[in-house]
Amino acid sequence: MMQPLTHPTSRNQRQGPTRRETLLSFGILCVLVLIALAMFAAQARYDAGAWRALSHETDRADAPDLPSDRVEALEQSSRVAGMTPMSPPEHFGAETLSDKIDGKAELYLPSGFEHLESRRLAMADDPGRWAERFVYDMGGSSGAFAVYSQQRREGAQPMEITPHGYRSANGIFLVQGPFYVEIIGSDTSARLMDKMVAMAEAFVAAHPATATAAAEPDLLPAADRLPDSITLTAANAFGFEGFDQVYAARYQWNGRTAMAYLSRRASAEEAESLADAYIAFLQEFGGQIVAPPPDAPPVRIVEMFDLVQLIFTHNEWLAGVHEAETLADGLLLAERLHRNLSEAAP
Amino acid sequence: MNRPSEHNNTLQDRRAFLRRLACSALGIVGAGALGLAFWDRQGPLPEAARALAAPIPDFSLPEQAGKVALVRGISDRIRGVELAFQALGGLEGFIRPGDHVLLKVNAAFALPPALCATTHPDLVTRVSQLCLQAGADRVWVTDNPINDPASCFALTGIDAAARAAGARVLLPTEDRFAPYTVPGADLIRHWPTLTAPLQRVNKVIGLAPVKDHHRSGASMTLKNWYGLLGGRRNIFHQQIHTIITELAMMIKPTLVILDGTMSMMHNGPTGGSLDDLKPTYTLIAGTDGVAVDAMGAELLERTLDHLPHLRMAEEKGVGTVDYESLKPEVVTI
Repeated sequence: MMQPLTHPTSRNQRQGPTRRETLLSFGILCVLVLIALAMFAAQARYDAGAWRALSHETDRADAPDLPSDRVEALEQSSRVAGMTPMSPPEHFGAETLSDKIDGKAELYLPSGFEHLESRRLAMADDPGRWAERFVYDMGGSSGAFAVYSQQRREGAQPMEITPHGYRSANGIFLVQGPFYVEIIGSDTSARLMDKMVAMAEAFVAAHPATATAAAEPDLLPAADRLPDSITLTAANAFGFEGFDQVYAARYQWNGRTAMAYLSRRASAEEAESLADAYIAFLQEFGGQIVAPPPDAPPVRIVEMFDLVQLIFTHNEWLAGVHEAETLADGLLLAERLHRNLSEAAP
Repeated sequence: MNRPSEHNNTLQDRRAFLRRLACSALGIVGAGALGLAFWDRQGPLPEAARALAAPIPDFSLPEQAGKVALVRGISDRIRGVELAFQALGGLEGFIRPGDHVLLKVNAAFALPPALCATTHPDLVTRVSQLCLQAGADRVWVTDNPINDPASCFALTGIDAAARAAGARVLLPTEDRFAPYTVPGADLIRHWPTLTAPLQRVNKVIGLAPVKDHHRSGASMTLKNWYGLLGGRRNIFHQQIHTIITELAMMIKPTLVILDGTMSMMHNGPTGGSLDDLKPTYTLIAGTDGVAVDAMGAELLERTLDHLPHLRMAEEKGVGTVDYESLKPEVVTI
């Protein structure tokens, strides 16, 4: 006689899930509930520090099209004993520079800015103390000097590791080749400053640069010149749109001040034409042409708001004195500057 | 012929099958209903096509209009803001029990507080505490910084300061922005603006440091509202005075506080060196941001000619540069 056929599944359905299956299901549900609770708790307790790793800061971690040797040099120079990375490096180009330094980007962009890398390092034994290193690639040493000189802090302590470098109570600022570097500390402690100096030295060592000093600073008269007052303005010097690459220095004697400046143009014709345009610009804002005294150097003089502007050209050089308080002061400084240029390029 | 037990088994199989079928159908219908509930029929729209945010409320108090207090000779921000509030008649005149207060700080940069490029945490703590003591139900702190928001709030010390006082930071997450148009404005039109925090409060206090600014000449209480803008706001740098004027038109705060105990005289707005700072021992509070900034300009040794946005804001009826006309309460320590 044939036995009745019963499907094994039917038997299982009748019997229902086994105790083991029930316990397993219950366990899985418990885990899901715990995950949900943990997510709710994490959402409710915001911690800015914990968010940092998820922030868009890390989106910029990849260096954009930097040569591998550059990336390696940046990495190598950020390895300083006793300092640990706080966050991944950030990279900014001309389009995004203002995302890092806001309105100050307008100072860097006309000076040839190409790229900024910034990274924060904290002291390994005291993580509350940290420093941020900003490496601005200005495309050339003149651009780097321009932004360095425009922001130089008066009375800061010079540093010997580069021709142009100084330290303030909490920061180090230097030019190395095409780079303008700032290292900003979170406080003024001596231990942190020692580490920051080590960071600066590491950067200079990893980015060797041939000293190619510009000729212009040496042509500015040395007498009565205020210390550390030489600046390079990359664009719009004295508010005049066509005036770029202007070296200037401030002078003081007898309690009065004036500024001498010079800019090397492509040709003598361009220098002359720019001088004409600048004088027209001054006249547009109320400047009055004044005839120079008979024994004066070959300058053109414009009086404006009780101050005197003197402008002259020598070969491809456009030079002058800006905002002298008296005509005699302006003529004295212009004569010194003219003499320097004549001796350098007869 | 089937036996009875066999017949029962078959019936039970059918019932189990039907039960499971019904459960599955319910699951499918439930999942579908859930999906329907979350379905965004429009999908993401271009910024310009998105619905405009509701108008930003007017947070000013008519009875407190034109009040300004100047505290001189102070280096302690906590004491300074307490004296300023006293001179204004007490914070209770501005913050009422049950209020929800938003502190709009300057957390623009991930820099340490010592550099004074951002609102000092001491000020955040004390103002939050005083608001809560005055009966505020909640105090929120927000800004849309230039740098990464989380790093900025952490490294400036503002997040810790807010927590210590019982306030809470609102990060500028994307869902908190909405396109906004300032009536009569040329620049702020359908522009992503941090409006959500403004919609959940009934009082707004601006807290700003006194700073030099490479583009605008100065960054004080009016420029501080720049932190309510989202998107590629750096395009406004070419029309910086116009955008500051429009921001002043956009928001009418309950109170603004300008911290000039230490002013950034050079290399703003980031600074970077303590040498950029000068102790100016002053704290100003008031309801007229134009007047407060006109007073702050003197700390930076700037004139109104250096800061055209102040006169432009006055012309728009936002406030007055003639702060003397408001007869400020002056406290000298």
